[in-house]
Amino acid sequence: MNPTISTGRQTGLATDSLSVWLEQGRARRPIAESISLRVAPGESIAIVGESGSGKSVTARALLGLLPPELTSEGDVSVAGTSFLRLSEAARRRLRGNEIAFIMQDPFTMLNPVLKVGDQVTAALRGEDGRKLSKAERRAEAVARLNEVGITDPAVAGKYPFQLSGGMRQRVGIAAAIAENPRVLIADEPTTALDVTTQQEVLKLLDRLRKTHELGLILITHDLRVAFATCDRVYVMYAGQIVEVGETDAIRTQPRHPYTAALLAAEPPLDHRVPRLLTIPGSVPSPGSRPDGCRFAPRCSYAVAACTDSPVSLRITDESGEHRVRCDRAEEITLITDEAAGGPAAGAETVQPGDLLVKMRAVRKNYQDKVAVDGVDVDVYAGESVGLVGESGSGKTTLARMMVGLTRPSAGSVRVGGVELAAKRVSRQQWATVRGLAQMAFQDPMSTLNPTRTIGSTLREGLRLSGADDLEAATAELLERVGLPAGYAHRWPGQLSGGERQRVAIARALSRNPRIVVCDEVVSALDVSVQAHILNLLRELQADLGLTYVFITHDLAVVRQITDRVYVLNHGKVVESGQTPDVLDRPAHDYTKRLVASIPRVEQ
Amino acid sequence: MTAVPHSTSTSNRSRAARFRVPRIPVLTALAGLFLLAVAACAIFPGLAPADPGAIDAAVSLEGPSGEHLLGTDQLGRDMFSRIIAGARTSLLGPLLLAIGVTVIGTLLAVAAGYFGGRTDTVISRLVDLLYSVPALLVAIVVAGVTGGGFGITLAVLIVFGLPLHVRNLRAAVMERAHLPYMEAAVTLGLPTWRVVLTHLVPTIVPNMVATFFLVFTYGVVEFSSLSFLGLGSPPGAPDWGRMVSDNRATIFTNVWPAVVPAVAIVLLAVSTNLIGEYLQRKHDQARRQR
Repeated sequence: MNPTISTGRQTGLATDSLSVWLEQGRARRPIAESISLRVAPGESIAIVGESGSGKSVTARALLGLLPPELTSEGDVSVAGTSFLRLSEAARRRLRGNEIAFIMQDPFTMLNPVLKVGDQVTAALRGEDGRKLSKAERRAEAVARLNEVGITDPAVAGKYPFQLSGGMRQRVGIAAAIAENPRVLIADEPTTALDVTTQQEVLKLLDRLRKTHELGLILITHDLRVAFATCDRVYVMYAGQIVEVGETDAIRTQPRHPYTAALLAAEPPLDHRVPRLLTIPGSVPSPGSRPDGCRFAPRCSYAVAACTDSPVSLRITDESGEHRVRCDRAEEITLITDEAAGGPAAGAETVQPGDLLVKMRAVRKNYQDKVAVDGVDVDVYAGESVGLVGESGSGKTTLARMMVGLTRPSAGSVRVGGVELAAKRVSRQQWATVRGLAQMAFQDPMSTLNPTRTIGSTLREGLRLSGADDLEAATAELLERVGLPAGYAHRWPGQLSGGERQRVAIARALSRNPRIVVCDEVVSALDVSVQAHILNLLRELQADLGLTYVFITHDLAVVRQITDRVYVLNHGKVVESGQTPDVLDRPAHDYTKRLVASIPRVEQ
Repeated sequence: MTAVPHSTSTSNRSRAARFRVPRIPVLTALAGLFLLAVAACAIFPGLAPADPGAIDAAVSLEGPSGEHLLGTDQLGRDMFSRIIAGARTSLLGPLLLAIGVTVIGTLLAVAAGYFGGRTDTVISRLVDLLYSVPALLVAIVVAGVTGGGFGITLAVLIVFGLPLHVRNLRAAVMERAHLPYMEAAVTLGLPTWRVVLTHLVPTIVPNMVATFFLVFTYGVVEFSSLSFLGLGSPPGAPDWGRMVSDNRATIFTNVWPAVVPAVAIVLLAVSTNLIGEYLQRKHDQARRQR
């Protein structure tokens, strides 16, 4: 169609020193610097990094879709055409046609008032450039949806809200590839999905890239997803690419200390480690990135010379494929469990203490929907119990019933001897439950009241537990969770996600509880931060003799933190037992499917 | 402000952005000054240069002069002094109305939005009912039947000012009622009144401030309308709305006595609106930086 792009079917997308700047009045801060990457048709690459690495901004810069406060420099060429040098109108023609984009959130990606069939075919035109007829459009929609594994032709006539998250993501993919683009950019396409759905979507992307000769650029924070799907991996840190290489090279022989540390911080799936390796400090924000090597302040290999001058990407192997931004690349080795003290001999068998929580035949209905359907759960003092399941399994509802935030529709919930399903729970009984069981929540952004300082949040609980010296007790509490006492004067907005989760844990501890119910406390955090929080939770358990009820969808996390586990599906417990037994030898079909869905590299 | 454009190669967009950062917009500053002046007049009615009630047939319907800055009305009363004397009733009515609607509205919104259930049903249906009744009409009828008076007028306007704001505030409450930090406060074992007062209400303060200024602005107009219809303040009182009404007959002889109070009403309404918007913006900025 476009005469300028008739050449170079062989090239997919390539960038040359693509930089993105944040314009703030007179200040001009780099967000992403000199990004050079390429993807050939049929190849898949991953851009991996934690939050603040600049990976999503890079993705948007590739498409020329930056928000107004950001500007880009450098060049992106799509099939030989300089994409960013084109006029906006010409670029719009190329988007969808040559380069397409799918987003993270399947719930906001589609227009809620248009039928999905119309959305998939919205950009399609006939040979002569005319709009398709209604019948043609419908046939095209059904065919395109079939391509992404939606075989039911009725789906084309449905609205997005009638579909599940996984289906919506498929529809989004069908719409993105409707015009047979050469390059597909997927920004965290599976982050909002359940593991089993995630696996299906990743498989679909992999299949499409082969059948459609698509160059796939996968932006993700999840190393497992990157390794399982992509040929090559670009690791980004603080706005720079710090390491590039074939997936296997990155996975087994990372040469950048950050990559190595990130890999080591990932909780292993198949065994429990005594302590997860962590990276000290946090990702620097765009205004405060250090000179020289960006990672030097957090790096265990750093020497004085590292901070002197900027480090450039250099080739470290014969083929020229493996490039690393580190002067000491040859000395870096992946820290394995053996080096870190070897695998722990599985979860120590905990001597069962008193029965703290006893749930029998618990049900919870919301109108005609059943969230929890006849569940028995026991929690003994001193153990750590996992509630595992996908969204809609009822795990969070169950947890909320344990702390009295949700009232069961039927059955019995006894916490510390108090029947919470009773018609009337006295003030005295509530006081018992509140002093016994506390909860920590998932979302670090809304877990703390933005109108109160950290100190005043913590003092509330301390006052209720009858602490004498509130100042001292607050300081002690902050220290317990690894934060400086001075944080008492800070506002939640000044804290990072990991720090907020620490404060949320401290708030739960302020009542001196015996049970802490942790609802997905690490699922919104980056891997390196997650490792910190998991280590903290284990330390606290050892020091204070806490009992945990740990709600999560992440089986690797379950392995690290729980002794016993209940697997939930559609409001029912399908399997329970010692964590290693359940994960290594799943008996129920659903558990088997869950375990099998974890992205892994095919050996 | 040194908004000198740079000659470096910054993009047009960033240059435009630099021009958009004046500290206090001129209009907002003027609005603030005007409000301060009205408030000063309301607090110190003695500022008036002449007795606002003094009748002098010799100077009836004069234009502005050194002696009478804004002229005189039909009875020869000094308009400038009457405007100053009228500041108190013009300000007090909307102020009490805004406080009333904000406080009662917040109470009802918290009761409906946080506790939900039957309380919510009752309050929400009452609000719907009030919605369907035209406020000013009821105020006129009530004032006509009871013989009027400030208290009755205020009460009627508060009741009929509530629906819109109860709805808005209730939505704000419901948005926050089940956020993790609210639930954490409940699980900690804080008594309900503390959860509401220390966690819920502070987070809806911006909504309350918006309500206050909106009601105030409408109140200025509503009170003036009632006075214009002869239902607010008693005849002869130096009330701005009443003055427009009293002097409209002579508007073709001398425009000043009717137009000056009308302009004062408009300025008061616009000024409070501007100040309200300014505070809202400031608050948003502060929150973003925190």
